[in-house]
Amino acid sequence: MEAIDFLPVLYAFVACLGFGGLYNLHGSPILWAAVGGALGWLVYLLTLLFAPDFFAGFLSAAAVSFYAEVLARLQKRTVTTYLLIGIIPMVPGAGIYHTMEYCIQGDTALFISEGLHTLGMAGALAIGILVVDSTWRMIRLVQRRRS
Amino acid sequence: MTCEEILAIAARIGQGLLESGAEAYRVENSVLHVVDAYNLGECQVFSIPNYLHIDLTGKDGSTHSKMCRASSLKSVDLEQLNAWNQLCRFISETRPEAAEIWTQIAAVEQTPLYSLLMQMLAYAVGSGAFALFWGGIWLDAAAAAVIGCAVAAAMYIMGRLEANLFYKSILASALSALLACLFVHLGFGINRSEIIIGVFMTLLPGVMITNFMREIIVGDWLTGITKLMGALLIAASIALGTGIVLALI
Repeated sequence: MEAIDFLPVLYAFVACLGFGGLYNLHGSPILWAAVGGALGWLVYLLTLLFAPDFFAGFLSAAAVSFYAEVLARLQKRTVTTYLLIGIIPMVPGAGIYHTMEYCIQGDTALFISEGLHTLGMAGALAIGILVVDSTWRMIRLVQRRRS
Repeated sequence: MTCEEILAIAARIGQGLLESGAEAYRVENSVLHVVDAYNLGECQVFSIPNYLHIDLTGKDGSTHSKMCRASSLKSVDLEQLNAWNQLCRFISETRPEAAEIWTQIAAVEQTPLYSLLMQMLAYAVGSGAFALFWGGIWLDAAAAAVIGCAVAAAMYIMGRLEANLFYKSILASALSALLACLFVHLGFGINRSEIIIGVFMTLLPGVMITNFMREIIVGDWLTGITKLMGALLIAASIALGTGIVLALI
């Protein structure tokens, strides 16, 4: 595999730095949040090698979600800080754009298939977050009951 | 600490959390922890995206309640969200006096926003990097970065004029599409779609897409569905704004 394939991971990292500024995050947390975004896209690209893109979306969202939960515990900040920014590269911006483009061109078949694909991707992200969040809650509940 | 004092404090903190983009369960839990720290009686809290209600039944059986509205127009502010969160933790751990809490609240309200220049830089970095990310070349990224600056300035001005979120999204995306067409026409950038998608990403409600699921997981259906609707409407307004320009050109 060539190194050039993984350049988007770097782009995702830089883009997430920008988003840290958009959501008014100051200081070192910006860096940590951007690492989350890069991690998510790395997982996405690696998963694409052996699975369809819905599954890659699901797995990368789960990875970012897990990373955010761990980091929030370590740095005593809210999970949202890292999750919101880390998930940005996976948001299907291109999908929404092309859906709109097909709509203007009047190509109904492509419009519907692209639209459904975009919705599916957003759903896959949501389920990735759901699985990690819910599992994490159960683990914490078990821990609290034991102590 | 009297019931009235703690209610005023809790309402201000809850409003701050709501406006900086916290989830409903975080708002409810934090407010509950703050009120319970002083052990004044039984407290109930309810919140939806722009509404918060706190009810406190004192030990003598008297009921006190406070309702407050939060603006749903403010954008996510992670720095302030964390500051409110830390204040809540501080209150429930050390139980300070009311006057001390109010000075701390004033300090949280002063949490700095980035200057317009820094915001433009953030938009430029986000747009440029995403233009590359979605397959553009370096020239496209430069064009997207310039458009990102323009969009940041436009958003700032419209924010000052208190334009609503949908109108802001439509105008900002129309502006970005218009500039992208112009730049490509002038030879500054080659792939029009990649440039527009790069700027698109900074306008998309990625935050709401993430948040609505977290709301639904914990059972706050009402908040979750409201945020989902918001996300869909904003995504639609962005597509609309871009679409109008692309269809005309």
